[in-house]
Amino acid sequence: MDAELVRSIRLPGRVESVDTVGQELAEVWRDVPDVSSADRTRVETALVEVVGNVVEHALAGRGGSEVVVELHVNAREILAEVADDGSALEVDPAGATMPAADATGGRGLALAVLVTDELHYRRDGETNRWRLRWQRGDLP
Amino acid sequence: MSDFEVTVTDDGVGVVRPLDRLTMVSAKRFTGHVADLIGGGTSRIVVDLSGTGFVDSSGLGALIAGLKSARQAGGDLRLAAPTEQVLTILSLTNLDKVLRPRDSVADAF
Repeated sequence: MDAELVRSIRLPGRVESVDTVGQELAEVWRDVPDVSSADRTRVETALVEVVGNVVEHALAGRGGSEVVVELHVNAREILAEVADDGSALEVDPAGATMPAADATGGRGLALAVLVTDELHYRRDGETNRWRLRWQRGDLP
Repeated sequence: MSDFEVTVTDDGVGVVRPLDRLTMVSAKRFTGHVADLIGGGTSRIVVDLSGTGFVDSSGLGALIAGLKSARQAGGDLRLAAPTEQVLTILSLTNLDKVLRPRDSVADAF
């Protein structure tokens, strides 16, 4: 595949969007069927965690807000930019550590970091911006 | 919309089967089903993941919370037949050691 597929996914700022992301990705994979099962798993796992973080923290209690995921798929890599206008997040992907096995929470960001080749978060004015990158064919 | 099938076998083992995804959206309902089983005296529980295509960190948290509740009640919670994505994240989070998956519901206890 030489061309780049670009897809913009707009999601309402509510918890159910965590599952909608999966349905939207299934549509994307139909258009780029050569993306491997392992890569699909890595992309969906990370995007669900990032969108979950946004709707649970940045957009909590903000009716009418939305999360926008822009996805770029080419032969070498997959890129996702996730943006929302919610409150600023205290997020440090570089410092994310996997909690002990008996913890009932706190795994989301560490898991997203493990299944991506790059994961960045920054506050840009009134907007939260995440950038995720996957090199196609890498194992998690 | 994710949903669940909950049954109790003739041997008294509770089986919770998430029918679609186990995520932030459905994790609380899962926890409710586990609490209902334990409250009704069923503390040996199998989570049948054969129809669960995707689990997120909230779903993992709910599985660990269910494992703790079941053990506190003198039982256990075990996983059966996880799909590829679920096996991957169990391994990445090191939870495959405490929630060691079994091949089938019948093999779980």
